[in-house]
Amino acid sequence: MASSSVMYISLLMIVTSFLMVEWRQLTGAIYTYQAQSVLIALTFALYAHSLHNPALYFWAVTALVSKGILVPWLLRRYVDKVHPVESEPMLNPILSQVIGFTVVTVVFWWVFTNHDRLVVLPSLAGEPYRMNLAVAAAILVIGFYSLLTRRDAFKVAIGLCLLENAIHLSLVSLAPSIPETAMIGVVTDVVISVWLLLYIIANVYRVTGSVDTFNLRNLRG
Amino acid sequence: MLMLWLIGVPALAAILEYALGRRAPVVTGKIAIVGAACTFGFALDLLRSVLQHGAVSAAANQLRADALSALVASVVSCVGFFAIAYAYPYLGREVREGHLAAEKLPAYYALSLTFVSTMTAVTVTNNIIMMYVLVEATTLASALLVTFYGTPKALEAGYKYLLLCSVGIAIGLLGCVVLYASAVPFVGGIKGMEISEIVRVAHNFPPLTVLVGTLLVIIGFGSKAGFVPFHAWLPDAHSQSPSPVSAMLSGVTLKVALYAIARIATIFYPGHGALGIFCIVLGAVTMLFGIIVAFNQTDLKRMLAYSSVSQIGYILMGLGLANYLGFYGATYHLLNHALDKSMLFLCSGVLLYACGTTNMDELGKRKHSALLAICFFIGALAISGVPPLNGFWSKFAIYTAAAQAHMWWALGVAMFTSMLTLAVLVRAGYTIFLQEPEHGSEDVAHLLDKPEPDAVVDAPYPAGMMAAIAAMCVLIVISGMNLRVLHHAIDQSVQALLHQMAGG
Repeated sequence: MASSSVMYISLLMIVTSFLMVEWRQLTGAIYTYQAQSVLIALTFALYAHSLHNPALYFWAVTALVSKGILVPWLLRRYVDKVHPVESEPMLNPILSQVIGFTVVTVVFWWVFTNHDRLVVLPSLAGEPYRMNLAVAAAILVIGFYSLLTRRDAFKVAIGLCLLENAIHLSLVSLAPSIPETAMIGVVTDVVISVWLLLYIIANVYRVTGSVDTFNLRNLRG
Repeated sequence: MLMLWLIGVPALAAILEYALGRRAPVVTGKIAIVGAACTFGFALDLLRSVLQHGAVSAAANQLRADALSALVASVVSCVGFFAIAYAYPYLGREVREGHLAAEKLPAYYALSLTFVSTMTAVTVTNNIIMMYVLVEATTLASALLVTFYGTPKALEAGYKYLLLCSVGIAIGLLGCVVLYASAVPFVGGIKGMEISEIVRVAHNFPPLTVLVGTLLVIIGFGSKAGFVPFHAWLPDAHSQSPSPVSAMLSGVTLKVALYAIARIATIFYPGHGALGIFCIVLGAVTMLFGIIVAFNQTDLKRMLAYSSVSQIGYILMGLGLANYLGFYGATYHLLNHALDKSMLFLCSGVLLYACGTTNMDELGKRKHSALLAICFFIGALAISGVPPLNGFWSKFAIYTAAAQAHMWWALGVAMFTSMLTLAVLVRAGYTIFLQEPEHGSEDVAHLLDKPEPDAVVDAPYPAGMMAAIAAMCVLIVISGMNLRVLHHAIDQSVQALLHQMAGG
């Protein structure tokens, strides 16, 4: 049972990542981000259950509070203040989806089929579903893709969140024994960095009247 | 205990500064100067005690200081103190002239102190995950300082800085976690985070894990240290932030990231020669690229920033050479560059203060004080490695180390870069201070008799700013004099690194 639910959750996580990048209505993208964070918390809880590692329930709670509640709330606050529709991306939507989908499929397939060779850590060998690393890698790639191809500064911030989600997700396979205190430190950093980034973007909007990063090209050379 | 003070005092001063400074503008800045001075005192005391009694640890081994930590902490708090003391007259004038709202000052000092606090925390932490948390915290504390002026360019620089460093350091986190996870089977989940424990068991780690983890750490923290090609944020952030902040960014933040790399990567050198070679190649690319781009700059602060990129390459090359002299040169150059480049950035702040621009050609049309010119040239010659100033000795150690390791191409690149550095910085000094102002087709001899009325020296520089610069200049000259105490501190730092390589 747990195995098939992990499968569905993994699939949903990849779908939500795509939606976050492609959905040009920023509020929608933020809700999707929230949904993905809840899925991550669920994954942690499932791992806690199947690995008999109660510390991971705590991870689920931290992920839920920080990424499920705090970060989406911050994103909403700043996006509502500015403007809710993403500025024109660099690629046209269909091309963007095709490229994104191809890249992600290749990465996912490669990590998934080479999972046993990529298991460089003893702790990874005990990973029950052999799926998590591939999902994390796929989300990481989508995050980078979003950072590289989007012009809207808020979309870039969402891409950064996606990147952080991927790393957070990979931690459960790489190092499930990280103590709670260190985890809280890491999560606090993530929340503050997103907050500051949004604060700076809001200031950029206040001064220049736009959040298009193409306008941020005064500093060259 | 001393280490807790080292982190706690600037943090406490930051809180006090923010709380009191808003109510009583009279104390704004003064608390910050006192706090930074105390931090410097604690760091020197820590250095003294470590040099006498060896490494110390505290807080259940979460904090640990050996000679290298104490030395970097001293450099951080020294530059932090001078930058904050210098900011006091600098920002005071901007407030008087109406460029800056007085209400923003407490926030500036509080952020500066938080910045110093996070940087000293990086130097004494013994926890590999906290190392990530704290290095990221230095970015967070300084991001708002970079955007402090709130101009479109400053905001753009802050946006790039925060984004690139956050992404880079997130990669560094992956590396830290991989290394941590390889330590867990040997020492357990809690102890595995302690760097001193990782040192002890590092020889048992599977080779592939070590390679992946360490490369991720070097690349991740390297984006914060400004290695090419992850340096894109650096010239923007350095040129747009207030000059005292540029001095801190260039002088010590880069060094703190390098310290993190030195602390973690050197553990795994034995048995992984590729890591050292990777560092040397990356260092060579960084130094050469940095100085070539510096050639083209017309803005003084951008030029200095690119020169910083280049000097970071020397330190990285020294670390990669992994012999006694290489480490010696890297540690010594870390200290020298911190002093020299912060001083040069403070000089650029004075020029900006007096002339309202950092464009070198514009600056060349004005007359400047002789003291400032002397300080600038001493800094420029020191960082270019002209004997007998401090930069010469550290670079000489790195050259010799490269020769010892039979890395002739690295030696060649390093010496060539050094010559280019001299050319770039002396040309800048010449353009700004020595070049006769151009007067179109008019007869020069005629002008020598009768000076132009508008070419008089500008409003006198504030004594506080010049005192900070002159004091740093004296430190630069002294640190090139082969003092026994300095040699002892650097020698002990190198021993600490070699001790790490030998497995504790």
